[in-house]
Amino acid sequence: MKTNLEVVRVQDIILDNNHPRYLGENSIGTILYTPLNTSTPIDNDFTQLPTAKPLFYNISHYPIANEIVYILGAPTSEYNENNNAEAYYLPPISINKSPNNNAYPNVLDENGEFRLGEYFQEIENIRPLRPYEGDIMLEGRFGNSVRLGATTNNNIAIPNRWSNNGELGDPITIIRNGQTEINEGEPFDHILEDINGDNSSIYLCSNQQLDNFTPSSTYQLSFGANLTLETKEEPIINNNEMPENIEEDTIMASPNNLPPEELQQSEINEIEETENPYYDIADTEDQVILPDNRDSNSIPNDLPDSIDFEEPIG
Amino acid sequence: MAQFLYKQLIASKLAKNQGISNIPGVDVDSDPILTEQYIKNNLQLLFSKCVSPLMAAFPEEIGITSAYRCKALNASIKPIPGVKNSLHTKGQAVDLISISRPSSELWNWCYNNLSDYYQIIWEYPELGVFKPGKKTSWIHISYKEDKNIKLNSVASKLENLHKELISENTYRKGNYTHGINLADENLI
Repeated sequence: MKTNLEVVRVQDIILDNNHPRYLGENSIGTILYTPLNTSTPIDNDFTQLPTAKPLFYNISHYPIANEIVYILGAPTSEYNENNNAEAYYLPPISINKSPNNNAYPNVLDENGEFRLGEYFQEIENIRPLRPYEGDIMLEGRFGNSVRLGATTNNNIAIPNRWSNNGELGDPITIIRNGQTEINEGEPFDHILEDINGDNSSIYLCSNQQLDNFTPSSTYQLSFGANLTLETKEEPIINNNEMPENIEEDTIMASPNNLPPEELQQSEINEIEETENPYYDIADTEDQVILPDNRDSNSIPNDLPDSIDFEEPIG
Repeated sequence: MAQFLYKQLIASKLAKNQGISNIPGVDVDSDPILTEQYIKNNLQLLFSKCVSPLMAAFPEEIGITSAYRCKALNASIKPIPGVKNSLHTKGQAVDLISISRPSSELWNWCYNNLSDYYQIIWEYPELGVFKPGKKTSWIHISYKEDKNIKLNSVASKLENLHKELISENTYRKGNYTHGINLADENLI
């Protein structure tokens, strides 16, 4: 069984049953390759190319056309019967260290371009993430990533916004979906996650506090959600002050100014305590006092003489 | 014009049933501002600025369900207590009904005619017009001499009512929509 490594060029990959070389679900992820010094078949006729299967089964890192991979021989599923081996491939070689693609063609078409796949399009400004000591990172081709990192030393390493607080080594997990827009620097420059610029993020912190974090909005409607529980405008606190008293069924707001966010939250907390309807009549004061009903049996019996409770009010 | 007496503004069947002394000034030990005089002054302001004009507009119509509530009474409200610093505990809020008219009429009158108030709430209009022994819609009026923000609200469990009231000027939270400008019975 041949087990030595060989560098080959990926020409195509089987990803679904529309591929002419599809041989069942077990063939998904199989590449069609050419030796490194062999040209791409004319008219992209891949019908006769040799194949290689992914070496790893629980980490899927599928190459695109014209990326370079190592292949090696290993047993087939019928090895015990016939001692046959077949080729397996390792993840693409990081020739350009570009997260988006590392295609390395040796033939260009009449337009000076080369094939990356059926629909894959290169995104030139996708940058690699800047690593820190001990980091483990997964970077997608499209600016999405997972960093299993920690609080670093901002005085020694390039500063990041999660290492100004906490202890060295405090874990942080950053899941980023989409890279912030970058129009400067070199294509191979490393970047850091940008919570304000990345499309969306999840930061699982331990003791860190992110610097310069600007929430896009605290209001769900700003995300275009079709909700009925919120309206476009948030309430206002008169004079931007928290009123001294919160009425049981009152949110201390009025629709003309926006209060500080913490005040809004306080209001929300208050009102959420008191959303049970009907209590006032149903469970407390089952009474209606009219002005001419001077003998209401709900008037306290122990009225002190020092106070004139017969005084009209209003 | 008929007027409410001071003793009627502290009347509470619940307090009597629970042995709570709902006398203004009983909370002064825990909150020095809550003197009898302070509460009475607040009630005078609330009634002279809000309730009396309303009563003049709707003679022999207006009844009180709850005005002053001492802290113990406020905390005894079930199934959940009133908010700790309820304006009722300061004599700055009152709950009113009309004995024959929809609560919307009272709310709209207040909205259109009162020059100062802290908040008016059209409370659960789906409960309908007053009938003895029946849950009834009411309005809540509060007045604070120094902070009358004129907040106009409706409380309801009717989701469609809240949906109809959504606008750039309203704010919805739970059973409440704030910033409304009309108590519209057609929404019920």
